[in-house]
Amino acid sequence: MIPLSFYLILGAILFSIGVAGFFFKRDIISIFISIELMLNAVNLTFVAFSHFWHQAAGNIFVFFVMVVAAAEAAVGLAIIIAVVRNRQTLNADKMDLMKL
Amino acid sequence: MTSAATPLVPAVYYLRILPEIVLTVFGAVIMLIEGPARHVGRGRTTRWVALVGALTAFAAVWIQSRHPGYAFSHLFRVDGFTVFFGFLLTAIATVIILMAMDYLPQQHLDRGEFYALVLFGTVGMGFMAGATELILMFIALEISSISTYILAGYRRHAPKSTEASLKYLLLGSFATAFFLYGIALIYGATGTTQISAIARALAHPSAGAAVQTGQIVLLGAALMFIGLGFKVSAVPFQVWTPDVYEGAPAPVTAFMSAAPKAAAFAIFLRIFTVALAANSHAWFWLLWAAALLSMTVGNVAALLQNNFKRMLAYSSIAQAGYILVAFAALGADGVSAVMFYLAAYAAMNIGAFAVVSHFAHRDERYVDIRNYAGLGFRAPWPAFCLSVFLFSLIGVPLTGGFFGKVYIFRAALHSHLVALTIIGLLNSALAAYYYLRPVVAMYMREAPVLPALAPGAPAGNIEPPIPPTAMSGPIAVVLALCVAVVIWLGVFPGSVLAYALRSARHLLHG
Repeated sequence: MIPLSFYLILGAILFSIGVAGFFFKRDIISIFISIELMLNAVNLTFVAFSHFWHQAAGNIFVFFVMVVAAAEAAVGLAIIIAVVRNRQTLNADKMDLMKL
Repeated sequence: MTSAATPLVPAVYYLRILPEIVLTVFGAVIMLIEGPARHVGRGRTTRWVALVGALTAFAAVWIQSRHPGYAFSHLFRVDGFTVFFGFLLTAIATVIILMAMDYLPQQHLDRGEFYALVLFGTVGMGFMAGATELILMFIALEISSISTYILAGYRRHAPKSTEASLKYLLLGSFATAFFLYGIALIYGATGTTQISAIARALAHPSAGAAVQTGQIVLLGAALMFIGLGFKVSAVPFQVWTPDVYEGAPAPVTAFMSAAPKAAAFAIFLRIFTVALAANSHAWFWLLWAAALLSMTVGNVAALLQNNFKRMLAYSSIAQAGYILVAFAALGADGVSAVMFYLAAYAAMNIGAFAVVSHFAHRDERYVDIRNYAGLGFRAPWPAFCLSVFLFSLIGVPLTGGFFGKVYIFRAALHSHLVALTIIGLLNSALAAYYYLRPVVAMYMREAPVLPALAPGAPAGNIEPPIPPTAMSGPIAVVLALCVAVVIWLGVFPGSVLAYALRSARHLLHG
């Protein structure tokens, strides 16, 4: 049997890849996908812990997270379309009308 | 199994979430009648429906408060804490709807969705205030966030507004992922997501010894701290705040600076002072550092701003720092100081944004502090109200901001946070400079005389003064309400503080 820690480490690696993608990708869609990867890494962690505690709850949380992620994607893509219509680019570096 | 005599879901459960039900129903009704209503009564039906909805929800909080207790298998709890935030959030929603009645027609953006989204966002925040289960907190946080992402981009033809919306969306969902990862780790360490059960499991750590419970809990707490730090815009997680506050429509900025922040502090308090109370020695220094950095970075950066909305954005980062000082003080004193300050802060900040929103004009042309030159003589009443709000933000006596700061620093001193108190007081003195700049501009500067130019030509380096603006009914009500609350909290703070103190004890001692 594969021990719990393997799943947790895989989840942590996926989450870190998501974080790295968020910081280093320059394309808005790729950044958005990186966030989805982070959420799915959390889902894996939930399922692993759910199995560890012999509970159904953790599996059900995953469904909630998926629904929320879908809602977020719907709104997020709409916002991205509005941005692209305004300035014809998907490059995150061009989003600099206001200085940080 | 429940017997046939007791229904599966007792009716009282629905009374305990009545404000959220009311807001959802009114929001859905607005979405349904939006199409036909545009042709009836000059398209003004939806805004009145929204106003009635927000006021009904405010009344529903009172009904909710008569039925304290848990609802829906310990997912949600009505206690003094929930009710305090319920009143605060529904009041904020009401005021924002009034502000939008003035702002949206001015910007030619008058559509019903705006009001529906404000109501839906408030539903999420109401659930955040009362949630006693981490997954419900996550879902409520997302309901509130998704609504505000859309609202931030509501001027969808303005590049700045969509950019604000995009930045808010990306950084907001990034933060939420951290918060969720924190939840997953706490669940893994304790086997539960219920606040009280987590507190029990952590107080008796033998229960889950099979995993490295201690370290996983600390990692989970740190991840949740990052997620919530983003939501309350604490340094070093504040980078999104100035851009989003500058680009979003002014009433939305007012809403974001008050309501989601208050609700995020509510879950922050519930998680850290109740669920993770046993580990307070570990996360206390995180709070301490975030409080110190937020106050200092927010105030120093605000000194450099000319854009009024951007200045208020940095000011809100600094205010979050003061609130974190009270949070770090812990105990009922600290929690009640947080609650009192959030109420005072909502009134003074929304008031200031209401003035900015009123004078913004088409496409938000007049949002520079230099535009306000000489306004004290041309628009005496709004200028007077703005001065009251800015004096309250400084913390001048007889305003709510003064007692807010007094309670915060008193709680901090009782908990022996001397260094933090001294730095906080120094920061308050520093902040007076930038809060007084608009006051000086309004009362001590002459409006510049513009060189005669063709209409629409750029005026060069001179910021044009704000043209005469007729005061509309709703904005007058907003300003009067905010001034009244600021003065009331500054003259008779006792009753609100006593209520906050009682609620804080409910929160901490079950």
